[in-house]
Amino acid sequence: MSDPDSSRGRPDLVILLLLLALFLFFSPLAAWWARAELHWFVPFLLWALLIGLVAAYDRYEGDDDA
Amino acid sequence: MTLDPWLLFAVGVAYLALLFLIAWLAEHGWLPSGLIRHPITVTLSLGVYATSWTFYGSVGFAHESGFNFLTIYLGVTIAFLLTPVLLMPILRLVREYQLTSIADLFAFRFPGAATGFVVTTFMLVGILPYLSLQIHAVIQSVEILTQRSAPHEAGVAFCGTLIVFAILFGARHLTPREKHSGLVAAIAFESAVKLIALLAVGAFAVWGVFGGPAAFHEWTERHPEATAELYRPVAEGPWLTLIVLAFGAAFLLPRQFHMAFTENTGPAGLRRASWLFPLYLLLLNLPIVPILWAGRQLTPDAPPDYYGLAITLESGSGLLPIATFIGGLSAASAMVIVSTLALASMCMNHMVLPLRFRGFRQQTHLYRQVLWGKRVLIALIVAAAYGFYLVVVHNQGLVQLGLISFVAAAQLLPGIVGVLFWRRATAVGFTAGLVGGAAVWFAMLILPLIGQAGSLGGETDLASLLAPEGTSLWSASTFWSLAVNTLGFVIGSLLSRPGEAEAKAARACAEQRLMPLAGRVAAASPEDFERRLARLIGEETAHNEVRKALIELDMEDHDLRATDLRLLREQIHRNLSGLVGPGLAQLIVDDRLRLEQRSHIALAEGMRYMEERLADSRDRLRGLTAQLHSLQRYHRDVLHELPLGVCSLAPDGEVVIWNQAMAELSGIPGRRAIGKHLRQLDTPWADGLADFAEADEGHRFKLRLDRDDSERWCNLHKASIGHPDAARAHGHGGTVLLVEDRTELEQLETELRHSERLASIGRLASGLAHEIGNPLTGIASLTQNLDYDDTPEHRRETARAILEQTRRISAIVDSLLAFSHGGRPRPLDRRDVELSRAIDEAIHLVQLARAARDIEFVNECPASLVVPGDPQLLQQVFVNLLTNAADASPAGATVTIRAATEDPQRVRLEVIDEGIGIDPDHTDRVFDPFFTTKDVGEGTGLGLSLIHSIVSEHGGTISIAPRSGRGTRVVVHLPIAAPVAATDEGAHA
Repeated sequence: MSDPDSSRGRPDLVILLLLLALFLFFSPLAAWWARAELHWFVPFLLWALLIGLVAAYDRYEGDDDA
Repeated sequence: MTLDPWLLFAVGVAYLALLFLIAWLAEHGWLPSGLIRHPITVTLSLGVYATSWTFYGSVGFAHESGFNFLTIYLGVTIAFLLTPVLLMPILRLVREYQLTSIADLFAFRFPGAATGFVVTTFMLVGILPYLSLQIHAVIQSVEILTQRSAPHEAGVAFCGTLIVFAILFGARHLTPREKHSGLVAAIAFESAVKLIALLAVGAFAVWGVFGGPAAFHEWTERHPEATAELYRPVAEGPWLTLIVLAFGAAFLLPRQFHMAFTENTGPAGLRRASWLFPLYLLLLNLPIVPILWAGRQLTPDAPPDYYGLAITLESGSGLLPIATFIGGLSAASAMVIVSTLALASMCMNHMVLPLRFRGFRQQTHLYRQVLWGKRVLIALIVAAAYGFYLVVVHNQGLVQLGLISFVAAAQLLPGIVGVLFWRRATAVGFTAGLVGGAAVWFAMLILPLIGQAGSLGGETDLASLLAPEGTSLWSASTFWSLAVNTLGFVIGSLLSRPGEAEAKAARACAEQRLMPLAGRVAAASPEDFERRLARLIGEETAHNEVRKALIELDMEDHDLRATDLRLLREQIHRNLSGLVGPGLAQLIVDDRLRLEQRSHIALAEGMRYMEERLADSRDRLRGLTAQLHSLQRYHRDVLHELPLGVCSLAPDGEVVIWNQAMAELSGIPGRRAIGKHLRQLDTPWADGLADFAEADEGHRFKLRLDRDDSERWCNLHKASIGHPDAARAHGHGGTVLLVEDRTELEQLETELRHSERLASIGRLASGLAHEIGNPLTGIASLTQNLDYDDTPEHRRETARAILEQTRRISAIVDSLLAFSHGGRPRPLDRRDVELSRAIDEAIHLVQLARAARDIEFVNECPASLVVPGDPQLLQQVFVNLLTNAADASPAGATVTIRAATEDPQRVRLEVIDEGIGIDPDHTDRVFDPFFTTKDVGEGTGLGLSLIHSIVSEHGGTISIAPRSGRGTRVVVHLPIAAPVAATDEGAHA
């Protein structure tokens, strides 16, 4: 059985991703894109960007483990 | 268009039957396990998060609050983004300690009956509105599709069906560690179905309602106010609050905890789900905006929550509405089934079993009780949710009901901080905080709900006070409940002291779990375990649990060491935790499998335990810890690979280290030796090593310790680890034994001695011929004279003379035989040896040599002097010493042998010659093997070396006295009493 914590990864990168998420959705940037009369799908794009970065991190960690 | 209610009922039951078929196929191995464990399956099973609220309610939420509906999924995205630091540690705890629910997790971290009870009660009450929401959504969807009010019977039938399927999925039989591969497969299938259904509705909205993507885009360009309506609430609404609530709900809601951790098949799936699950949620939400705008266009009179269903009715085909209905049914049924299973397990472990615990006895059928208890609880929970729906819910929006449960789940967030990060947190603080937060939650969200239902008189004063006009109720209720909760948690924790069990659990949660196992199990064997456990959990359960634990540990049920029994107890504890919860499991093992708190035995157990855990954890260790671990491994490997037997003992004689050389030497593998007392090992090692370990001496030489198939000769050395008193007091320290294998050396020495004796005999050969020749000549003469002996008296006289001569020959031959006998290692044949007589015999032998003929040997040894020793070996000592003395002495010289008692313990024996003496530069080297001052071919250089070896073996010493005048004086000290060090008769029994 592999230990769950073998997938613990690098906390520093996780924190960076968290900061990015906060920047995108909690900062004045969120207030800006909410008022900027953008296309309806922009929030989905920002969300997809965040997911893409998490996927890249997962891939990086996977390679790192290997 | 409308649909027939019976058609919907039949489709619903058929769909649930299909789900059951999938579950059955998965459980019986018809679906490959690789598919069940695949990250996509794991991700889809987490899709139980998306309930009717998502499927139907998101459109209504978007209608009312614009893009605020996304917060419910952005919060989840952030929670899963933190998988490595948030979810993985929880998964580790759940897997390692066999925790099966969120209540188990808190009950483990904050031991005490109250913790599990409070969490379970609160979750039960908190999730009830959410369960009611699902019933509400399904009944409303039926009403919309059939365009008529659903009778009460429809709700009852739906709930009855859910109860049956929940039992079929999760309580058909007991599964180890609450793993239901069938449930995972079925929920994953449901998630796929609702995604496909929602995407189909979205596609219909774009293509069917707006006429295609380009037309849809044009419509959005022409109606900028529609997009602006979506964006506006982001800046104005409870954006942050909702994200926080969703963050907590992502892993704290019982159903999420169940699917993410309890049913987890491995960390890889969860790690991949850190982005796959948010991606699934994104896809699920992508059609919401088109559906909303299509609903506004096409069916503006329908409730916004059900725009998705309403627009499909305008498609003109019955297929799409039915597919949408199935999607909604999937969302609702999955949530109800998983939630009721999780809640039933929590209620069983933290409410029912603790109440029944005192009534447990030998005849208790625990498995049956747990199984039937869960079935009854599932029925009761679904019934309660239906009751809540009837009384309170039927006039509420889907999102409001869901958010009430989200605020409830968020009350566990401070506790999670205590579980993962704050070791000082206590059960008192956790309970106080949770009760405070729950009270605010109840007052601000549940009482007004009951009030609106007419049971109470409208909004409560507290809700009005804390959420004044213009303030979002969700922001206010979340803030105040979490504020009270956190305050109670912190103050309660700081004002109370964590108990021993709590501190241990805190360390385990904070990953400081590499602690030695303390204490010895009072039970002596697996059968004893079963007998003790049977009195409390019944014979059948006890038998099954003990056997299961033995199989999991890969142990036989006999010949188990204290360490094994301690590990067996730990495994049973964990398995019982999976069955009845951590609190009750602790009570059972504490009550039936008591520990004798003997800290000093923790060393061997702790070392093995730590070794195993460190081996598992090496990927996790970093920095200094990793270096220390590498160093520890290096030291362990050095000890393990040392070509010298190493055996370290705890203060009470239990074996802690037993290295490879020791295993090869003794034939006893380390796994059989470690953890046992020395006396429990196989003979002769048990007594040989234990006697030496208990003796005062530091060394013991030439101990015979046989293996089954061969003789073994060993030198033993011993050292204490640390100060003995401190070692006993602190349970560490002890003794290290070094076992030096000298079997080959012993064989070589024996061969050398034999060779040396043969060489001596060779040197004696000429004298021997002369010595035997004289009596032979005498015999020949006497025989010739026989013819002339005319009287019987003369003949008898001659015969006696012949006999006398043959006796002389016989004596010479006997002496030679005795001297030359041997050739294989043997223990000392210790007996009392009269020194004077032994020296006389040696002189007799030496005088056979021509060189010794002209030497006078003077034996001044008192006849009464007796030493314990091997006569043959001592004679070899004297022969060699006298031969050397004779060789060094000129013709006519005298060799004197003196012996006297020097003190009550020792005899001093001197061999003094009148030869050329030994150069002072050589005196230190004459006992080295192959050192000789004789010419080549005259001496082997082994004589004195062998003498030294034999004397040492007898516990004596040999030295060359400083020269004073001519000649050499060799001094031998021999013990009068047999020394213990060389006593080996008892060691090779």
